[in-house]
Amino acid sequence: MNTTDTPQRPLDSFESALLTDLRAVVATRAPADPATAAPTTPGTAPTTSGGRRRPVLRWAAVAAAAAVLATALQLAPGRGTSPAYAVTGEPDGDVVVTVTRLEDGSGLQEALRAKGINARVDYVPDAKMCDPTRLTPATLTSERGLMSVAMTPQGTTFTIPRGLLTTTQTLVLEAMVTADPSNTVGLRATIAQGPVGACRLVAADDPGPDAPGARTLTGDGQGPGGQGSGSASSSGSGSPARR
Amino acid sequence: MKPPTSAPIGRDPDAFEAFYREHVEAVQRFVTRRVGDPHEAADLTADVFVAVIEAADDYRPDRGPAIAWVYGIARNVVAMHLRRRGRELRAVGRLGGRRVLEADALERATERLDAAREARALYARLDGLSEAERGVFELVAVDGLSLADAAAALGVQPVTARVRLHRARQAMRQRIGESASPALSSLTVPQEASS
Repeated sequence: MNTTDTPQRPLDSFESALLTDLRAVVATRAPADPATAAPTTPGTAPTTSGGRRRPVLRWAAVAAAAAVLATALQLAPGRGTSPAYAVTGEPDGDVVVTVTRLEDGSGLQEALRAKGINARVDYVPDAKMCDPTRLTPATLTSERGLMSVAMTPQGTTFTIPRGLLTTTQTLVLEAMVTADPSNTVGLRATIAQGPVGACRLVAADDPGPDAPGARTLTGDGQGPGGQGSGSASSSGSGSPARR
Repeated sequence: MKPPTSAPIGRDPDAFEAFYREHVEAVQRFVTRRVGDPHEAADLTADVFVAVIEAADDYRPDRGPAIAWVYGIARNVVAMHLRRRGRELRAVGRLGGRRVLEADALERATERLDAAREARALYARLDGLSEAERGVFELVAVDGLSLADAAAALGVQPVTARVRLHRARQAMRQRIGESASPALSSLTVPQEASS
């Protein structure tokens, strides 16, 4: 039954199309060429040097055993009157989070904590990022399950498996809030080991704690982008998220 | 199987392509041992490779061969998909988002599905096992990994995997023994010496 030694053969049409898409996904994560690199933005959809947006991940769901999950996501448009988020506990113990609009990060953070998930939510302005040295990504094994994210008609949905986080770990969600009409948002979910510092904003291409203009968000999960609408999106510039 | 160490498959498209070509058949067979719909299997295959890309930076070759690492990820992707699918069915009573396969891909997918019929039957019988026991049994009995590779895929010590497999085998033997299905009975659970 073991098929791991199956010899290679020509790809069929599905495999070829999938390979093309996956190569694009990898390309969006590749380190930028220092000679031509544009400013980097965490979790946003990068563009080519000509400004054309690279293909954005179009598979329905992303799941990873990694402690950091960064991707470009879409939010549901035209839902200004719907709740900004929903947090539900499933009978099997999983917690499902649906984000419709990037508003009220502190409310989302408290809702997650009410479900037993030690969480930190920061919505940060375009071309900014939280100082990455404020946390240490955890080392995970796939046995504890996968953190996943999916695009649904209701918005962006995270699934946090029961028992994924230990008592010393924190789920850190960071999202970019911009006015770009492309309806794409960059988002990064990190499972941090140990304490998580306040979100000290730094330029996305200069994460040093002493970077010019660096400042600290005021209040847990209440970033300056908190007024973003359903069309909140990434700038479409820069390189993929740092990990 | 060459581990993804010489070039970063999560960062280098060419390195990823080589890795993909080497493992895409194994991943598809892994998926079709768990789901019986070719379009659903195609979506899951895509999800597995996306997860592989996302997790590539965390791969540690000293913890086992690449295929064990891939299977560990694939197992969780499929399990999460099945749980999510259950919720969607309960919520809206429909399946959606299926991927359209062209004739050549559909033919291959159907061949895989036919070949994996018995494995899917066994997979469908694992619900009574604990999650810990199920993980080892699944990778060894359904997917044919060695005990050591299954342990690596799950991130546990081989001795722990051995104990779990032993318990799972006892439970499954009892079940299969109670079943009149020759298809299930023909699936031999590897001995512990398989590690």
